[in-house]
Amino acid sequence: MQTVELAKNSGLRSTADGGKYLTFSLDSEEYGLEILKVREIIGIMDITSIPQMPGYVKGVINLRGKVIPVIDLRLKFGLEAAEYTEQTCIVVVDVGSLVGIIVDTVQEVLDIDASQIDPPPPLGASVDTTFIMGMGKVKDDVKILLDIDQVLRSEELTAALESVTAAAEVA
Amino acid sequence: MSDQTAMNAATEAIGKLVEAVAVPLERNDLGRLAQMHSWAQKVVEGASPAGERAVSETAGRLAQDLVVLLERLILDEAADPDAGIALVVETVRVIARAGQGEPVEADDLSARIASAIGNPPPAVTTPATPTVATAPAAAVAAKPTAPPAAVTHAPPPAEPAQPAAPPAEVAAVDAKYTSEPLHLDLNEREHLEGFLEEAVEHMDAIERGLLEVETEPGNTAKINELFRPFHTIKGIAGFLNLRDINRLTHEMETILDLGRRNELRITAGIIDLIFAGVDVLKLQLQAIRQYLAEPTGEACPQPEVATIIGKLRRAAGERNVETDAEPRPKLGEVLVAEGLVAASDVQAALEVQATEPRPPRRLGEILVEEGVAAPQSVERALAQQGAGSALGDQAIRVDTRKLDLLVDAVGELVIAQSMVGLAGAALRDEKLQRNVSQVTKIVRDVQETAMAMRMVPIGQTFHKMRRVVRDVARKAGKCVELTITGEETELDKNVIQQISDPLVHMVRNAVDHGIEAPADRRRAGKPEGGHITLNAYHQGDSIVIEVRDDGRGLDRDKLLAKGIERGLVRPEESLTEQQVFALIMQSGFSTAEKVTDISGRGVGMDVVRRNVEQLRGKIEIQSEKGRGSTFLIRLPLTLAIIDGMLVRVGAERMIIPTILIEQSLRPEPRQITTVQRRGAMLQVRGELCPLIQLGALFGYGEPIDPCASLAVIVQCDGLKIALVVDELIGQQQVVIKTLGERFKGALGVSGAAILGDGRVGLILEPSGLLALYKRQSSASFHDAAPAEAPEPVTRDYSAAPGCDGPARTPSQQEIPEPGGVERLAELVGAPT
Repeated sequence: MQTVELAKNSGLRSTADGGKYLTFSLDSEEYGLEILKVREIIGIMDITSIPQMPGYVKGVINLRGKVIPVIDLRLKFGLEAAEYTEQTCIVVVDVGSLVGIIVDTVQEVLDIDASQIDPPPPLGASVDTTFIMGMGKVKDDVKILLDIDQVLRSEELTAALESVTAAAEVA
Repeated sequence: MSDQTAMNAATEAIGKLVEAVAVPLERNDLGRLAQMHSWAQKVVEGASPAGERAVSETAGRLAQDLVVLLERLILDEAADPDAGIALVVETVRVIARAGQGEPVEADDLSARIASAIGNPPPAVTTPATPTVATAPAAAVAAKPTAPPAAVTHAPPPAEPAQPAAPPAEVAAVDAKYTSEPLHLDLNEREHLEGFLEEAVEHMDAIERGLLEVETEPGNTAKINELFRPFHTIKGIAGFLNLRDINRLTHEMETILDLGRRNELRITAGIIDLIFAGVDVLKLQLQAIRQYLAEPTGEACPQPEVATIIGKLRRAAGERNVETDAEPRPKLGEVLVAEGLVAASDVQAALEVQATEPRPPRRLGEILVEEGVAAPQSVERALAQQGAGSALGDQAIRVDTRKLDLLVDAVGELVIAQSMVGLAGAALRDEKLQRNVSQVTKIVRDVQETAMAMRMVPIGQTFHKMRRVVRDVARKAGKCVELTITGEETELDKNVIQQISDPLVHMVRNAVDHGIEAPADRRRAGKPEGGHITLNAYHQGDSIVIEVRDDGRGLDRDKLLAKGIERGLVRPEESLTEQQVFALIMQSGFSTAEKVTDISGRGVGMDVVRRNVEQLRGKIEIQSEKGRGSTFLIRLPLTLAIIDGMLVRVGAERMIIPTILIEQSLRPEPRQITTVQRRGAMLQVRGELCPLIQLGALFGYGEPIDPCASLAVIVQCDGLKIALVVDELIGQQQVVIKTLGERFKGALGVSGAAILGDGRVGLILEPSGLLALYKRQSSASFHDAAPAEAPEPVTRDYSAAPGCDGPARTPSQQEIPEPGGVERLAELVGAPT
């Protein structure tokens, strides 16, 4: 997070460190997550929805007695919603607390060397690149390496909630 | 020490001597003789300066004789010990008279003492000079056969060993304390944290103890109890190099020590001073806690202590006379009186004790070791004596987080168990079912035990209120008495922590606004002193905490006027008493302006209400104008598990806390009224409740026909609301899980629980629901075009409600908002 902010301030792009990444697909795109952030991978299960939440917040699940929130990464990234299938997985990541993220398919764990990682290229104003740590080039494929803390920054949710609460207080 | 102080000490010592001979004196009671010996010396010292009125020269001379006589008696060297004992008694009485300034005939007495001793009086004719104080010690040293320890400092047998010399308060009085920079060793972090944690408990004990001492300043047993926590803090602080804390507690301890030795009268001023010291101590502890949370590597900031230490030292220097305190019964006497030990055995033990090298064993120890008394008897006698138990209590300290984990795990166990039970029942295997039911029983026991481990009595929290009452009453110039009952009532530790602040608030309100000024009370024909009662008790599945005052009570009319002025109530509507009182707990009712003229109950009551609601509790108010008010906080027994009603809303299952449910019913069409075809209301027993379509409100589905489903009436902010649900599934206990930070602001939902099939169910929170309802369009069933109830939404991953894009929330704000006044009016059922 710090590096990202630094990069923003200095106008430079941060580059992700080399290491192991869990790769998964969303729509036709391929993404990578630092393996250290991943707690476990589970198949899609019943999700209890929470009222008044943005659509990408699917709700909560019971992870062996813990209630954790689940976020649909497709919706979060503004992609089209997809039917959940056998392939659909919930990747439980640890971003201070546990959060489940729904992805289309989990692929593999890849060793990506720092030399294989490029900073994200400018993609135009319509794409939010703040949560991209870098682009990992593995053979011919490009994996988008995610700064998952940034993606799941709870302030965003909190902000959404605050607007809800504020509105309620007006009433 | 000034002369004045020395004289006071002398007068005090005379008092003690008189007291000591009030009961028959035995020549074998070496402890008492030794004590008298030191008092007699004090009298000698007091007489030395110039024989002022406090202690006359005659008294001083006689005291000197007494010192020698006692010495001989203790050493068993007197020619005629029995006559010597009689003479001791007589001499003390004469000294007492001389001390009062009465003329006494001393020479004859001196002569008789000399003859009882058996040799010419060594000091009779010596005028009292500063050297006399050391004379006895010299005399002792001259006797090679004498066990020296027994003479000067044989401690009283019945008291715990005390420091041989009084703390060095004399030298310290004038020295100004300067604190030194505190460098905390982070390697000792664990110890420091342990200390801080322990200190919190000790502080509670200290505050409680101080208040008790304040009410009974002469009760040395209470002062003794106070001593212990101070001593522990001082000891550990010394060990951890926390110099300020160590010195500060030392000074407070010194004062208490003087107090318990009756050398200083524990006045209200002294108590105030110690309270101030305790406050500084708290600041010190807080500073360390903060430092540990974020160590800077530099010296730990320390709040200023020099001033208070200076004050404490000065106070310790101003000893005075206080003799009316009752001496503690001696252990030996208690044991004999109880018939547990023969008097001769006690004496034998006392003799053993007197000859022991310093520090001597305690009397109880000797008795037990000699096999004369059972440890239990000594224990009991000690308890009776007020010295407290010598054995530690049977408890261990456990991190509450560990307990939470245990309770959570047990919660899971209960759920897993019920799943196994269901599966087992399906198999129809008799043996399996028997075993399962056996396991069920055990699991229930484990659950109960785990829950019980977190339960602590509310007494400690209640006793904290004494300080609040005392401080607020003093500031407001009122006299308020606090009565505490039900302090043994147990609550979940977490509940107690969270209820503490609201309770402080309510108690403060009760003193500040509830109780009238003494003059007003007199005019109203009430006793000047106000009375506040704190009470706690179990009632069904909940715990009730009561704050009752006999103050002015709530003024219904003024509250109503204020409510109208604030736009919370419309002039023409009629509210029930409860509804009017509930106004003070509305946010915005009182915070904007001080409302002391109304009774002022409103200060922060909305915060209190919110806190209590967070604990899934509720507040009820009873009040009679001029007679007082009672605030009842009704709380669930535990935070971790609630009794809930499981309901189906669309495809979701939700839990409504049973404590909030008034009733559930299948409404009939004639019970339902709509306003502008929108705000539907349900009339139940003459009350109009807003009818809330739960499924539609949460976006789980379309409004449904209430008459084809069910309405659950729940309590909410003093109002009742009717929730339309598809089905009641059943009542069950659930383990509460928080939804975490991310969902903190979700209205209408207070948490989640894992249901029997492993899915998550949300727990409803009516206040939030109402807020959400007020904000949203109150879509009613009759608005929906189709008259038949919609099909329950079939559960399908992609069709989960709420996945239809992120833009749901903002659109809801487009609906025009009815004003607060109208809303409340509508909610409480005023004609529109």
